[in-house]
Amino acid sequence: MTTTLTIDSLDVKRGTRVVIDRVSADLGSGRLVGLVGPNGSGKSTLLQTIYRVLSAEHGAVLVGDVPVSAMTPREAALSIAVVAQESPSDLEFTVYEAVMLGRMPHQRSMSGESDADHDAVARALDTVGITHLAHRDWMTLSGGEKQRALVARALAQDCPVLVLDEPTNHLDVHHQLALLELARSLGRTTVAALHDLNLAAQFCDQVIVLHDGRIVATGAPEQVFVAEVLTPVFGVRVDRVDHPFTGTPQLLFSSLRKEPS
Amino acid sequence: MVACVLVATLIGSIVMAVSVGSVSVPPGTVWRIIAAETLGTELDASIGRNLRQIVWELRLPRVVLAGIVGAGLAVVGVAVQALVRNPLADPYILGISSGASVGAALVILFGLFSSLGTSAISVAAFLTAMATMAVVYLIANESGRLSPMRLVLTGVVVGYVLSAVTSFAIFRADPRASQQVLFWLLGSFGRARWDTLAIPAVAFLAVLVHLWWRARPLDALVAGDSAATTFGVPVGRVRIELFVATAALTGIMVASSGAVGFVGLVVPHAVRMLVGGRHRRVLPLAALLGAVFMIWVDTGARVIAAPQELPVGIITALVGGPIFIVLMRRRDRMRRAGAS
Repeated sequence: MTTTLTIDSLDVKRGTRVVIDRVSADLGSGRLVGLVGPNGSGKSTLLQTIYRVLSAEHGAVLVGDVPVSAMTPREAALSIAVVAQESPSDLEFTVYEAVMLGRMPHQRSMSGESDADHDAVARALDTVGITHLAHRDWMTLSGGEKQRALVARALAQDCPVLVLDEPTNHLDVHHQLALLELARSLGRTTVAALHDLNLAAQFCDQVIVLHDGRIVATGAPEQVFVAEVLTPVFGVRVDRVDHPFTGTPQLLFSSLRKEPS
Repeated sequence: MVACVLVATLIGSIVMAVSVGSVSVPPGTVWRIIAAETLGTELDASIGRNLRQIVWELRLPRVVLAGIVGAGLAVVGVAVQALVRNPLADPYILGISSGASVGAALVILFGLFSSLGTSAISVAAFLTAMATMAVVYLIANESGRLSPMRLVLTGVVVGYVLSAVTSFAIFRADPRASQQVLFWLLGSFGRARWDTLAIPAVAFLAVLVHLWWRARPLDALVAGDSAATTFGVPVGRVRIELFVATAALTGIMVASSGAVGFVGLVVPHAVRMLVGGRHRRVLPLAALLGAVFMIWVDTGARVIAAPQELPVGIITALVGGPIFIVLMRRRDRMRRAGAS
């Protein structure tokens, strides 16, 4: 169940401000693509355009060869599942019911939940490791538990494309690693906005560096995550060392103004 | 399970409510009269004609209207709380009831629409309610979208302006008419007759079925607009649908019995505390609980200060408030126990 995700000369405005400016990218198929960039660089806007909360002024987002803007709401919901940044706080649902919401595009309005729905929810809870939380009230979850439940909801939706907006928010180190390992192992076309460049370097097949609504660099993390690219974008000094255990490049950041001691 | 209990309670409540009053009628007699009337059979001779008239012509329509309005306001409350994603929302937050009140006040104080006879108040209230709905929609509408925040703010502001109009009219009018308006505003089912029940009943059923059909999108809206979009819910269209359906039903409910407060706020919360937030379960149970609650409140309104009749809205708040607080505290205790 994989499909390609392509962004084709996309312009997106918020009000009159151009937030995404002629962005084109080939995100391939079945890979984990990391979207990085400073605050306000347009990561969330780009993701929201992919999942149709925002619409483009120009250009298209294509799943396979179908533009998402040409899909019905239900077709889009069967193609793209999302873990967004907003997380409802006062939802009077159990975790199981909240994850079941992800099955909505698979259901008819008057029918009950099918066996396939219950299977998908059970599998998603198990995959994320929160089966024990199934009958807890949503409101009693910690931030990290909510975040994992939202991931489970997106998995239950069973879509070829997965969009993750800052998915490691609220998660401790262990669960950050577990989540990105999971995202990689799913074999779905996944695009994730990430703040932690080292996590992106460790897990992503491809990274896209976004700055002021434009793509500054894209490619394998080893090639893209170099001081020449990152320093002008983030405004910090970047030093690279190899991780003594995993061997992946690790980025160390320091203020540009600071003298080495 | 909860549903079965509530259905049984509803039937029992109807019979009890009909039997209570200035002339008390034994429940068994109430049953026999209702059965005879609905099945079209002869009533046995031991039951007098005036008893039949009290039960069938006076009390039962009133109890049925109370049930319909209670159910309708509860269901609208559920939908409005999802529509504007605000737990404090009730059917009146969109300003519709204030609009209806203006129409009713104008009729009572100045005798407008008097050619329509006894239904003038209801007709005028409904018309001004619908005009208010149009105004709120036009102001809140942002290029085809109704954002929850704008909708609430617009509804509240329009409501205040219209309430001011009503207050001004009351202030200028003579005291007797003013009191009549106040009584109407607080709600009463005293005008119920069989022939005026059809419109509220049909409107209630139509909106209930519509909301039940939209139960999943309602669930999704509670989870957030962008989440709902990613589940394939056409959020903009569903919002407009919900707004029109709930505003129309609110207008009809208020037109038939005044602006009975509190039921539309409290019953949805009480039901969610009992069975969780899934609308497929919440909607029918809210309807049942709203009906039962309103029937008892109206019975109280008739008997507490008999022979004088109290406005229903006073009792809904006085009785509903403490019940709600007890429920909320109990739920919080259970939640703490569950989380630890």
